[in-house]
Amino acid sequence: MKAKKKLKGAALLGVKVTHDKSLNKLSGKVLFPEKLKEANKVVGNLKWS
Amino acid sequence: MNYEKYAALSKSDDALEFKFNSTGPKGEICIVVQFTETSDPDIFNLGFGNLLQNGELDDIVKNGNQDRDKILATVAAAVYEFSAQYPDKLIFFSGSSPSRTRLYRMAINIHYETLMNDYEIYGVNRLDNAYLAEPFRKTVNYMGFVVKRKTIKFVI
Repeated sequence: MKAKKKLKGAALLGVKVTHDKSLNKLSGKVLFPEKLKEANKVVGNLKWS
Repeated sequence: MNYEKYAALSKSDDALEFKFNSTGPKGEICIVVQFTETSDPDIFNLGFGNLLQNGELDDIVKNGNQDRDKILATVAAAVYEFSAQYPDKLIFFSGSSPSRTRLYRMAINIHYETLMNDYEIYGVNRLDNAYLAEPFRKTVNYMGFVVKRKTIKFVI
């Protein structure tokens, strides 16, 4: 079976990405709660044309 | 996308949080980008803002570094990185004000050809008591946008 080709990330735009362990402590926290509230309002009632 | 970008973008292990530094007249300001799962697990919300000295995040106030386009281009790089890791997820984003949402539309318009090569792009507007997502049209004002990475490319 042919292996699935991995998509390129930020490198496609010439940006190098490094891992920063200090960001892991933000995982699970909602940093932009107002934005998420707005997004939930939209996606909960989203139709596609 | 030939806009200048900040070269040093860092990410968390799960590629849901990113950060980079904006530099300009106001000094060095850390910008944090986060992709958060919405009530629909297939759609993630994109948020980004300035990390303030008190540790809070502000996605409303301009940071005064006069580097708007560079910031947006770097956030776009974070979108590419997220969508490379989660290609099946959709990303919803909107501005914190109508003028910011218009700015995002202008940014999509400028980079439309490049983005269309890599993403399905939809514009979202309110329709009666619901929201309607339609294929992005350059001349339409939208209240938000949804993008999804193309995993198969057709070359004509």
